[in-house]
Amino acid sequence: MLRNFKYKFRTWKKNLTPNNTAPKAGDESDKQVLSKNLSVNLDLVRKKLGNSMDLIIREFNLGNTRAALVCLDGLVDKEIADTHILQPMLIHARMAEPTPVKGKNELWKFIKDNNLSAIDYKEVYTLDEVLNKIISGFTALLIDGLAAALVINTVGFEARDVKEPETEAVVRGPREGFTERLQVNTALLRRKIKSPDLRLERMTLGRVTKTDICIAYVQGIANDKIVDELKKRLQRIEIDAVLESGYIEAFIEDAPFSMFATVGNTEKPDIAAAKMLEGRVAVLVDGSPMTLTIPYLFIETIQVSEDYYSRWLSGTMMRWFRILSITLTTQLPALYVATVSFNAEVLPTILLITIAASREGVPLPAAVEMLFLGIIFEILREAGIRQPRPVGQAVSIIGALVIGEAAINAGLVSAPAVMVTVLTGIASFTIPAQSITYIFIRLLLLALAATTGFFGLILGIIIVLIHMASLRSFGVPYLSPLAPANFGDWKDFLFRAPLWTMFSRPSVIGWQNRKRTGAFGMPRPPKDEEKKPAGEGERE
Amino acid sequence: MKKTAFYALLFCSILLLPGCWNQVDIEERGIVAALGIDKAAEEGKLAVTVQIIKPGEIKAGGKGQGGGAAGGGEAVAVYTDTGYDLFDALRNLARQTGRKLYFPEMAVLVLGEALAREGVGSVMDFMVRDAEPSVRTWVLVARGQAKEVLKTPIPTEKVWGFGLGKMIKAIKAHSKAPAVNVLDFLKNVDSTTTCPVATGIQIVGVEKKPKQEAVTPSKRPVLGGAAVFKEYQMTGWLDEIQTRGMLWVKGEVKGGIVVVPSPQNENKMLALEIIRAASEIKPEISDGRITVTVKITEEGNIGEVKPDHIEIAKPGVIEAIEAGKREVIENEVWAAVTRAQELNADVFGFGEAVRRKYPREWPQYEKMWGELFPALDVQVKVDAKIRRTGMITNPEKPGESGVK
Repeated sequence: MLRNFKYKFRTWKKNLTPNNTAPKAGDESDKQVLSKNLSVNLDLVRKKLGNSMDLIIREFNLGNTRAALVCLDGLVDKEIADTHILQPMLIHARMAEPTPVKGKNELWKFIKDNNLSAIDYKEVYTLDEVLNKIISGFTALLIDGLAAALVINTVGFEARDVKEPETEAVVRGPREGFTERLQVNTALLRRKIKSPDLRLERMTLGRVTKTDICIAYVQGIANDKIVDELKKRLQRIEIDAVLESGYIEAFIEDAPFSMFATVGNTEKPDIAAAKMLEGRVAVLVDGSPMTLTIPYLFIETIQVSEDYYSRWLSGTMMRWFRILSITLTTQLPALYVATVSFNAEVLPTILLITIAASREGVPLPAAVEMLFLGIIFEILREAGIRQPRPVGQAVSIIGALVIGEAAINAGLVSAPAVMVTVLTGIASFTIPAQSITYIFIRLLLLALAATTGFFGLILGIIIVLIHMASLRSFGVPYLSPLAPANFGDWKDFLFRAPLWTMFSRPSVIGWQNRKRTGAFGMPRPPKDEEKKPAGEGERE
Repeated sequence: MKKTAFYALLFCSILLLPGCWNQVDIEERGIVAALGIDKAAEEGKLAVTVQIIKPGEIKAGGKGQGGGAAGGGEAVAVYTDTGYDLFDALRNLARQTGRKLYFPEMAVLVLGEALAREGVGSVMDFMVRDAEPSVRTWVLVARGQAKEVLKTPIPTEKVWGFGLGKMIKAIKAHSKAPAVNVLDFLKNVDSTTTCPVATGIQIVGVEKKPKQEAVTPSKRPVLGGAAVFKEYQMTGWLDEIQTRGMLWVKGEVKGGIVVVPSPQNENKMLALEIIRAASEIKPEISDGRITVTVKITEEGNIGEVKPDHIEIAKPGVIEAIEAGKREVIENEVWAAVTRAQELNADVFGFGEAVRRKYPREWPQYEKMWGELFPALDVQVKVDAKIRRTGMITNPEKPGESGVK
C-alpha cells in the first residue's frame, strides 16, 4: 500500500498547478520558509494552528541538538511514531554515538540513512508544507539549526472497516466495499487489478478541506482523451470544500440540468475495476466510499455486476426484468391514467368492469388519485430512509395501514390505483442508483397522460428519448450502443452474451485497446485421443 | 436561456391547452353490453334498447355488501328509447341513463325481425362509422322483438349481454347457427353476389315468477338458425338443419353431433362427434353452363351408441356408419342449397368462387347471377370418416367385455 504513495507523490507534484492547491498571492505567510531556529518554527506552527488542543509537540535531545516531533492527536498512529521515529532517535542515536556526527547536515543525513525506520517520509522546506502534512496525519521532525523538516507518514486514524455496502448488495460476487479512507480504497483497486499499468494519480481539491482525490485508470485501456478531459475538468474546479464525491460530480458532469446523471458512482471495488477494464476512469475521493466512474452511459443502469458473475442466461433474464422494471416504473401510472380516463377500450372487458367497479364512489379523478398516491409513496420511501431506526416499525405500520387498508376501505382511493403505485414503487427499487431520475420521468409522463391520454404519454416518451439521445458523457453518446446503433456492442446490451463471445471491449469507450478474450474461448469437452484423425480411415 | 424558456412554455401549453378533452373516467361511462334495435310503433322511428352494466353490482356479488336494491340487484340495467335513427335514439337514451353510453365493450347487436326485414343499412353504417363500436360485435336477429332478448335474464351470467356473446362462442359445440360479426356481415354486403347471414335467436317459454326464474329459467333466449339477408334487407330464415348445411359448404363447421341411423337397426340412432371438417367449392364452366361441385371432408368419432344391437368391432360396420353419416351430411347440404335457391340468396359464396376461378368470364355472369343461382347445378360430394370409437369399441353388454 505504501508503495502507491510514490506514484501519488510523483503525480501530485505534476498536477500541482497554481490554480488548485497553491496559495493565492498575498498569503505571504503560507510561503514562509522554515527558520533555522527550532523554537521559532514551533511557535509558528502553534500560531498557525491556533494553539489547537490536538497539537502534540514532543521536544527531545539528539545528542546535544534540540529536536521536536510535531503531529496531531488522533490522526497519527502513535505506535508507529513511538517505535519507528522516537525510539530510534532516542536509543539508536546514542548507540551510534562512538562516531560523533559533525555538523547539522551530517546529523540530518545520519537520521535519514541510519536512524529512521519508517518507510515513507519526505523532506520539506516551507511551513505551509509542514502544516499540510501534519493535518493529513503525518509527523514532522524539526531539528534545531536546520531550515528543513522531515515529514513521516504515520497516518493512522480511526476508520471504518471494509464492509459489504448496503446500497449495492449482491448474491454472488465479492462483498467488500470501499471505505472512507482513500488509501484503503486505492489498495482495494490495486488488489483487483494487479498490473503496473494501473494508474493512480493524486490531486488535492478544496481550498479549505484540502481533500485528496485520486484518478484511477488502466493505462493502455482507458481512452487518453477521456483521461485528459477529466483532468482538465478537475483542474477547473474551485471550491472550498469537497466532503463527498458528489461535490466533484456536480462540477464535472456534462449536462447539469438534465434529469439523467452522466457520471456514475459505485461503492464496490469490483464494479469500479470492471468499469476501468472497459476503459472507464474512476475518481476516488478521500472521505467517501462513493467512487465516481466516467463516462456513464444509459446501459450501465441495466448492467449489474452479478450479470457477469452468474451464467449468461440468468444475466440475460435479469437484465430483461430490469428493462421491464424501468418501463413499469416510468410508464405504469401514466398508462393507467391514460387507459382509465381516455382510452378504456384497450382494456379487456372483464378488467374494465373490475376497475370501473372499484373506482365507483372514489372521490378523486384517476389522474389526481394516481398523483396523490405516488406522492404518498415517495414520502413513505423517503421516511423509510431518513427515519431513526427505532421508529422504523411505526412508519411501516402507519404506511401500510393508512394507505393499504384504511384508504381503500374508506373509499378514498381505489384498489387498482394502490396496486399500480406499489408495483411502480417496487419496480423502481431494481434500479436504486438512478431512481430519482425515473420518479421525475414518471411524474412528467403522468402529467401528460392526465391531460392528453395516450397521445401525451407517447409524446412524453418521445421527448425523453430525444433528450437522452442528445446527451453525451465525456464525449460518448449517452444512449450508445442503442443510438448511435453499434451492433457489435449489443453483446452486452439486451443480452449478456457468454464471456467467451465478448472478444472485445465496448467500442465507444475502449476503442484504443479492444481485445478482451481469445477468439476461440468456447469451453468444449476434450477430444477422444483414441480416435484417429478425421479422414485417415477413408484414404485406405 | 431564452430558447429553453420558450420550449418550457411550449411544453406547458401541451398540459393546459387540450383541457382534458375527451376525458371521462371509466366509472362515469355507461358501459353497453348489448344493443337491441326494433321498429318503433311510431312510423319511421326506431326503438333502441341498451343493456348497461352496473359495475358496482358485479363487484358486490361475492361479498354481498354493496347493492342499493334489495336482494342484490341485477348487474345490468335495460333502457329503451326511440328516435328517428340509431344515433338519435342513442343520444335520447342519455336522458334516462344519465351517463354517456360507451360501446367498445358491446358484445352483441340484436336486430328485431321486423326491422331486419325493412333493412338495417343505417344501423350497420353507424357500427362502422362511429369510432366506439367494435366491428367484432356479434350480429343476431331476433324472431320477434330485440328488446325482449335484451330483457331476458341469463342466470349463469351477471351481464346478460356477455351471456349472449358466450352462446355464440359455444356454436362450435353444435354448429346449428352461424357466428357472424359486423365485419363478416359487411364483407358479404360488399360482394355483388354473396348474401350475408346473421345468427338467429328467439325467446322460448313463458315468464315464471321471479323467485323461480333464477333456478330454472323457462323464459330464455335460445340460439339457432340463420337470418338470410339480401344486402341490408332480410329475406328469410334458414332452420337449424339448413344452417348447418350452409356451414358445411362454407367450411365453418367446427364441431357438433351428426345423428345417424344405425346400419344394423334403422330405428336406433348413433351420435357421431364431428372433429374436423373442411370444404372446397369447385366451379366449372362448360358450354356456358356453370356447375358447382362442393367437396366436403369430415372426420369424426363415435360419440354415443345404444347398446344391444351393434357390434362396432365387426368388419364393415364402421364403413357402414360412415356411409350413413355421408348421407346425413349430404341431406343437410341439400336442404341448405334448396332453401337458398328458393330464397334466391347465394349465402355460400358460389358466385365469388366462380369469379375467382373465371375472372374473365365472370362479368357476363355477374349481372344475371340472380337468374342463374336458383337453377344452379350443384354437385355435393362428401367424404366422411370415422377415426376413433371413443374409449371403448363395442358397447357394454352383460357377459361381454367391451372395456379393454
